[in-house]
Amino acid sequence: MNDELDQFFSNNERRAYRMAQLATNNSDDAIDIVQEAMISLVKNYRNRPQHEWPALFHRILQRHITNWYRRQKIHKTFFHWFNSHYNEEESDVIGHYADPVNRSPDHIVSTNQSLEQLQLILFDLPMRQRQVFLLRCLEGLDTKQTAKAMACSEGTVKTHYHRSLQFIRRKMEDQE
Amino acid sequence: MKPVDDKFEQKIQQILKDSIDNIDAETQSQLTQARHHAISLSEKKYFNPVGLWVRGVAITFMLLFVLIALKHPSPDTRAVLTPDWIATSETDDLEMYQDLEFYEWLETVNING
Repeated sequence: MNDELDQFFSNNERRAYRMAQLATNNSDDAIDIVQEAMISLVKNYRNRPQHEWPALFHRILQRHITNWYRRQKIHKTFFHWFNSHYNEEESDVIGHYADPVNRSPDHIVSTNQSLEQLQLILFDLPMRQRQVFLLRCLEGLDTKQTAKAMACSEGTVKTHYHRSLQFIRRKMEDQE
Repeated sequence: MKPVDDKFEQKIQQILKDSIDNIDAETQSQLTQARHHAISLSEKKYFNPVGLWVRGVAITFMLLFVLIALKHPSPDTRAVLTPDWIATSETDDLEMYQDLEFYEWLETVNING
């Protein structure tokens, strides 16, 4: 059982981390969210059939991301100064990345610049639109799978996805 | 996986895919630690306070029911609840008294005889 869990998490942890990091704009919180999601899956669903794990993990991850937003909302309501903490690491996004697959420095810089640009645009999106966008584009889920992960209707997913794409396209065109 | 039907979507997907490949060593190490920590929890038994609470309430209700039933048994219940050994001992007592009377009579007969 543990080997299967290890294999499942090692196959999914990087994507899950990137999703949480893009959703929260904070690396430390993203690690915490991924760890909480992993623990939740182990505690509550490890005995479920393995083919159900991916959908369950997506759903748990989205729930933890949503909870993070709720906590932030409360923090922001009571502590306005709290905002500044979450913008600290934006300035050093490129400096954090190493190159595990020996890409050229130009490629890495270009990728990181694009990612940084995308990250800033994503943070202007409403929470649900951002989550739908990331599930579709980063996780590669279809409309039905996304609706299941987010516990909403397929129509809502289509609307959110269409709006998020329009918004990102418009913002990127403005920046170019 | 959903089919990519738009160049723009394709471009965004490529940026995101590259960003996954470019995760730095420090973050990867943190993710590995998180994974090991989560898996280590699968070997522990979990204390489930909700389950315990539900079991506690169920047992309390059952005990209350038994106590109430024993304190105020209905006539039918009393008949059912009366065990066989009580009935038997009642008969034995009667026989014992009858025997006593017999032995007393026998003693008086022996004395007189």
